[in-house]
Amino acid sequence: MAGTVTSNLIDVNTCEVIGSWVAGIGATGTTLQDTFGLKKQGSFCLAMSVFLATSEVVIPITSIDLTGATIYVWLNFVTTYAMGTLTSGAMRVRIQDGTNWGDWFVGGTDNYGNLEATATGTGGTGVGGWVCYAINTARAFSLKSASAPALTTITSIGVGFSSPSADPTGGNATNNVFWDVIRHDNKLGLNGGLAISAGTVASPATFQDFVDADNLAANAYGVARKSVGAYVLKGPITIGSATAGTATEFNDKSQTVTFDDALVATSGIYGITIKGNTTAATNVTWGNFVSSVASKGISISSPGNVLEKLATATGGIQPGYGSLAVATTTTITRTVGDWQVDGYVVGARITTSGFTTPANNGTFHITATSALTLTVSETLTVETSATTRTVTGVRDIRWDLVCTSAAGVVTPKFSACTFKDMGRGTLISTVEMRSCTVTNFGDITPAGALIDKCTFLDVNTFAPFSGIWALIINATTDVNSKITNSSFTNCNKAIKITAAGTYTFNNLTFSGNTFDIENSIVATQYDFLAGANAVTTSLRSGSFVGVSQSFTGTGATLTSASFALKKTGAPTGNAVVKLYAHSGTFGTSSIPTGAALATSDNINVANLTTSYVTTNIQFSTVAQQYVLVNATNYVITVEYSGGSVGNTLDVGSNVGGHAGNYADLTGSTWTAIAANDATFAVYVNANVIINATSGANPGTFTNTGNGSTTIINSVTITITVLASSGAGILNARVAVYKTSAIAPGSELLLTNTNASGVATTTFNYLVDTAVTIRVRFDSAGSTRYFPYESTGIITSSGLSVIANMVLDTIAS
Amino acid sequence: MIADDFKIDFINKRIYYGENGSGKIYTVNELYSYLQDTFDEPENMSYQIPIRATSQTIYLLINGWSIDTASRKFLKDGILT
Repeated sequence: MAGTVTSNLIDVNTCEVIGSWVAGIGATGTTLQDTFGLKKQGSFCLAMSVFLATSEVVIPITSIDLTGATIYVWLNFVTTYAMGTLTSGAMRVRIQDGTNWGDWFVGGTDNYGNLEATATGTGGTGVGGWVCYAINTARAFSLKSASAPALTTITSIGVGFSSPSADPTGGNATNNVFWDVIRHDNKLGLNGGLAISAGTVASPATFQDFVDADNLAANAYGVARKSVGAYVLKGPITIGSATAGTATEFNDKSQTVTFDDALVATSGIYGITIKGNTTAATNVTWGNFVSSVASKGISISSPGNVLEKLATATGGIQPGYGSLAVATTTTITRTVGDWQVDGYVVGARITTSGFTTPANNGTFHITATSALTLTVSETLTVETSATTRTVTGVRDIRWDLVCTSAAGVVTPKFSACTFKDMGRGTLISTVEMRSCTVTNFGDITPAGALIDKCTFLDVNTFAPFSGIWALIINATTDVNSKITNSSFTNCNKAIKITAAGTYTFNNLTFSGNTFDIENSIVATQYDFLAGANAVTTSLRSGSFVGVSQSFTGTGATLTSASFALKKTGAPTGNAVVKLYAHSGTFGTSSIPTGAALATSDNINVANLTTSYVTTNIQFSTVAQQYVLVNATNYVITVEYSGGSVGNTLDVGSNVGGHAGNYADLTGSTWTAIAANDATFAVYVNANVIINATSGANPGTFTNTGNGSTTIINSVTITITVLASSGAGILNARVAVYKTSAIAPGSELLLTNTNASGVATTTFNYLVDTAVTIRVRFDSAGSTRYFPYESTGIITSSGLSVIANMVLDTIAS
Repeated sequence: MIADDFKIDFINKRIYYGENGSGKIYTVNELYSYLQDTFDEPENMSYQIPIRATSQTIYLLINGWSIDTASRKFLKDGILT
């Protein structure tokens, strides 16, 4: 074994002796017997006889806090013909706090892997087998005492079995249920389970090492096994060691790794952590990357969305049942049991089947109003027949990928890997991820990882996972020259940007996303005065037409500015905010000078209210975003020359409060008032500029902070005008319009062809754009051609059209 | 000149003989040639072409353009439909 595998699990009881095992609170425990023939771990396991009965036994332990812990236990129900269903509690895990108890139903005929029962469920010769069950204590109990046990003070752990059948031999005394070592993960979450280190380039650690270690009778961790050629994990694994000086060389390829369908939490329990230390190298290589070609990757998946039947109801589970009325809410009541049994989580998806109307087989979101009742929170189509419907819940089990940095000595390299039903991913700058496919996932933080030729598909936005983005970008260096040639499809908000700057999207392509980019940056409020607006300046045509406030700049880019604004009457038109150079004595006679350094977006004054509101106005394009020089004085203004008497834009200011000063504009003359200061604020450093290159096609963005986003995607439009001979036509008139806006002055291109017959221009691509192309060259005194008109689409690759002209021999 | 006599209402897609026209009658081919020459000017590229020729004598108004009956009296030597 090249790798050294260690366990982070804590033994609760190894079941080597009966010792202090007793019947659980309120339960019946039959006589326990040592047995060694069927042991899973060590030398012995424990056993008892359970026929036509339910028996639960526990072992007292020193009080421990198991909040959020995962418990692992081996169970073996030999007489499978006498086994009930999962929901009947055939196999259980129990905890007690000394007074109260709780059971999780973990196994039954539904999920017991070695079931060999007869069709009737009795009289068969089925032989069970050892199955390690994992249960996370965050799961609701399947059954409990009047009060649930306190997870923080658990004093007993045990198992339970239930059988609906008698012993066909008539004795009801044969040991037919067995259990072995019980462990918990010490609440370590992703750091629980198994860890591997060591290995060499010649003999690296591999996934097989986990299985080999788990298979040892002395271990029997129950975390790693191999099934049908795939590695199956029932807990998290860690590759690498944080212990100084411990090197790890992990190298595997062409493997399939699957996290098992266990009763664990949606996230934070299953995962792969890659860690290291500062004094030894940790190299993790999944797949090959040879001669720039990625191959033989690792495929890793988890159950993801697991459908399971939660209830069956006859009629009445839809709003307005029996009529054509459509309501927005209704109640679904499960016939028996608890909605959270088997992992149903509030807010998860519910689907229904059994409807005669296909449209009713939709997916609905539900919200539980109590343990037994769910309320449909979306409008449903009415079902008028009294068919029996099955309500199916979706529980969501995901695995996280966590790479932790250790002074750059941890180098994970993922090539041609497939990560499916992944939860969140945390990468580091030394990760190299090439030609990988990530599906049904969410919220990966690259942190400077190299990501090339990767496919990100389907961010899972559904509860309980509730992913939002494909990637979370926290610095320009996370993207520039790092994330390239990758696609983002159906990724909700594909890329979240949290830091201002200029990003290069090199062949990053987007489709089917709600937004390709989210700019979540909250701009820095650099300078401001939050006054009570004791002084009002009313702006209108023929009166004051501007108000200014001086301030001192910082070395940052202007994002937006705010003033206290309201309207009187019904003014119309737009106001703007402008930045000017400063003239006069700061704080006394500051006024604007020269041409505006920057002009904001428009504010529609008609949309203002009649009470003062701090109104933020964006400088949303690159051309508007002025870089303020540190320690240089500037003047920010709000200007409006529309309106009329009684219909004004009102600007709030104050007597004192700021080091600068107010001024107002009449005609073209600014007049400073030393004692006054406008209510204002200047915001900086929330501007995101996206330079799209090499076919990148980001087209949609949302600013959820108060920053701005500018996408620059210059593509080329080329129209080549040829005569029938194939030669280019010189001086043909070429025009290109958006098909949706053909009007004088709206040309995307309007020029004459060159000697090669080519007319060209650039276009800022944001979305596929339908265009109309016209070529005309039918002037007297020259060779004349019939007019040419065609349509086309400007894509992220631009547009190239060849116009073959036909001689007009009719025109004279 | 035909440009002085035949006027173009680009907004309403109408071609008409001006009230102060010279009274000269033009061939349909001359009108066709004039219109093609006019519509390849930069300022007119956004407007749809008004006329198509199928032969030296048969012409068709297209794209919703029209010429009123009175104006047609100043055209000859061709069919314009």
